[in-house]
Amino acid sequence: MLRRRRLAALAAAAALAVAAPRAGAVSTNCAVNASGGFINCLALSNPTVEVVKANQVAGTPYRFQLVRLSDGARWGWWQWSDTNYHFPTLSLSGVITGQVDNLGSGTPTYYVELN
Amino acid sequence: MEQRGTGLRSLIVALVVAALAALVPALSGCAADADPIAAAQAPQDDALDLSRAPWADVPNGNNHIGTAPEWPSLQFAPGITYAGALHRLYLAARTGAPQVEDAEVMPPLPREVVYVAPATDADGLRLSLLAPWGWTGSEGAIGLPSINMPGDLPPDEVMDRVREAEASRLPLPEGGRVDVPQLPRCQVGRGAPDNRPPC
Repeated sequence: MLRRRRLAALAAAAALAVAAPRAGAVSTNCAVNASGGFINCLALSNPTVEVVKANQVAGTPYRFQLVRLSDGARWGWWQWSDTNYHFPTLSLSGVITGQVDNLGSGTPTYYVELN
Repeated sequence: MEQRGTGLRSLIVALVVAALAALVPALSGCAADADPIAAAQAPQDDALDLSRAPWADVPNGNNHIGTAPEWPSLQFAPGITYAGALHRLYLAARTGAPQVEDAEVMPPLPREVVYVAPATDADGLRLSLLAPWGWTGSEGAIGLPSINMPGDLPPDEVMDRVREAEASRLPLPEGGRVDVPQLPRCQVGRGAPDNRPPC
């Protein structure tokens, strides 16, 4: 009986683990005007994975940087000229804001995810 | 008289013994240093703690080319490109390896030089460990590494691959490649560190 209950509890825990969203992950498609400088796209506390991607060729080249607005600490920028996903590989502390600077044309969107 | 003579001899013997005793460690030290080439090739001489490099240890933002502590450079084997050098360096940094594959530790390059391209096919590329991903011209911020994955993948697939790599302790996710920055000409020496336009 006890064994059956334990198995049921384990199964419930496993189901929850599969269904639960990743804690703290945020993403957005951020529209950024060309020549407007760095624009805030989204923010997250203590990210360990940062992702950015230009959704349209018109949005290239572009620059990406991470900023801790509380003290002005800044990581980057990185500049890319394609529509691949790009990952700075940083584990950062504090509330970190991802910013994009469109060096292309128009108002394209950028996929940005902090995890 | 005889006692005085014996005392003198004893003093001389004691001095000789003391001198020999002082010489033994010095001589043994010489013996230990007799093969400097072997000592230079010992693994600990090339051991690097890349987690402390100015492009990896960044808890409070970018380090700067003018103020970061000096770091050595790496001489790569002939045929390895800048992209290949960054790939090898990234893998070593992510895995905590004390050495970089196909590379030998060398003295630092001038601060503003990111790498020296080989003069001939028989030479190897020499990469600065101070700013291997370059630095921004206006502010001198040392560039940080990044990787890329194909843009035609859905975001969930991309993140799944990243998580799988983390769980398996792989330095790169499936399909991932190390980004290679476009550098200003002044950051690249051609055959020699000084053979480049001024920054």
